[in-house]
Amino acid sequence: MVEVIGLNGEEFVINANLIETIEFIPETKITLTTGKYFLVRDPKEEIIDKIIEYNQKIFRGNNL
Amino acid sequence: MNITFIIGLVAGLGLVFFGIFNSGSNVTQVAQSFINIPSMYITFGGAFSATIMSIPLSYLKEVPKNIKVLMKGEKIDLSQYIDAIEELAREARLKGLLVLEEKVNTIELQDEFLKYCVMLIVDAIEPTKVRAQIENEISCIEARHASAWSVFDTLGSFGPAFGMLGTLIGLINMLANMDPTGGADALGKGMSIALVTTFYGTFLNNMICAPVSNRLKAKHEEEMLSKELIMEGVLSIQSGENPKYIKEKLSSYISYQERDLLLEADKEEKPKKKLKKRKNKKEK
Repeated sequence: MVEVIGLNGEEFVINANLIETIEFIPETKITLTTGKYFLVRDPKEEIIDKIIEYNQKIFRGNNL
Repeated sequence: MNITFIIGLVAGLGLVFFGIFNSGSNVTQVAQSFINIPSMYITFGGAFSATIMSIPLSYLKEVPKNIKVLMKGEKIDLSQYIDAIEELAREARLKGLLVLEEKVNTIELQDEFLKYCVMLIVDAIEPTKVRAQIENEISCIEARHASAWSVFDTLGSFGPAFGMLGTLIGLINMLANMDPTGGADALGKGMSIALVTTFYGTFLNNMICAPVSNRLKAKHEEEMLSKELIMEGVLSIQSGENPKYIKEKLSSYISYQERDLLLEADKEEKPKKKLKKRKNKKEK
C-alpha cells in the first residue's frame, strides 16, 4: 500500500500490487489492473521509491 | 432562419387550401361549409383549454422561447467542438490539466457545457465520478427539453379528440332539429357542419402540432449528440489520451464527408507548423 496525494489535495492509499502502469500526461496517472486510474500529484521517482520501500518492509518482516 | 420549416408550413397550408377550394363547387360554398365559428370554439377552444389544464404554467411560458429556438436554422457544427477539444487536449498534455481552467475561457468556442465539464476535471474529481456527474447533467437537460415538445404533443392529441366531440355535438343537434320534410337535404347539410370540427382538429394536429413537436425533438437530438461528444472528449482529456487520437475518436460522431474536411484542414495547418519549427531550429 502506497500513500499518494490526489490532484485535489486529498490523501489516499493505493494498493501498490495492483499498479499496472504509471503515466505522465504531465500529471502522474496511476492505472490499476482493474482499469481504474487515479491522477496524483506525486512525481514518479517518489512513487517508485515508496513502492520499493513498501516491498522492502514486507520482505524484511521487521513488524513481527 | 429555419427555411425548410417555413417552406413546409407555407406549402402545406397553400396546398391544403388549394385542394379545399378546388374540390368545392364555388368560393362562397367552400367558405360557407369550411368556416364555421361555433366549430372553431369547440375544437380550438376545447383543445387549448384542455392543454392548459394538463400542462404546468412554466411549460407554457417557455413556448415563445422554444418557437424562437425552432426558427433558428443553424445546425450545430460538431467539428468546431472537436477542434476545441483537441486544442484543450494539446494544452493539457503540455502544461497539465490545471491550465485548462484559463484556456477554456480564452478559446474561440465559448460553450457553457464544455466549460462545466472542463471545470469538473480541473477540480480533480475522480474519472468515474466525472462521468456520472456529466451523464446526470445530460439526463436533466433531456428532461427539461422534453417539456418543450410536450406542450405541442398534448395540444396535438387534443385536437382530433375535440374535433370528434364537436362532430358529436353537431350530430346531436342535427338529429334533434331535423325536419322530416327536408329529407336528405337537411341530413346532408347537418352532417357537413358537424364534420367541420373533425377537420379542424385533424388540421391542428397534423399541420401544426406534430411538425413543431418533431422538429423540436430533432433539434434536441442534435444538441444531445454535441453534449455526448463533449463528454467523451473531456473524459479523454482527463485520461491523458493523445490529442490526435482524441480527434480520431471524436470524428466518429460526424459524417465521413465532414471528417474529410476536418482532416484536410489539419493537413493544411501542419506543414506550416513544421516549417516554423525548422526555422526555429535553424535560428538556434
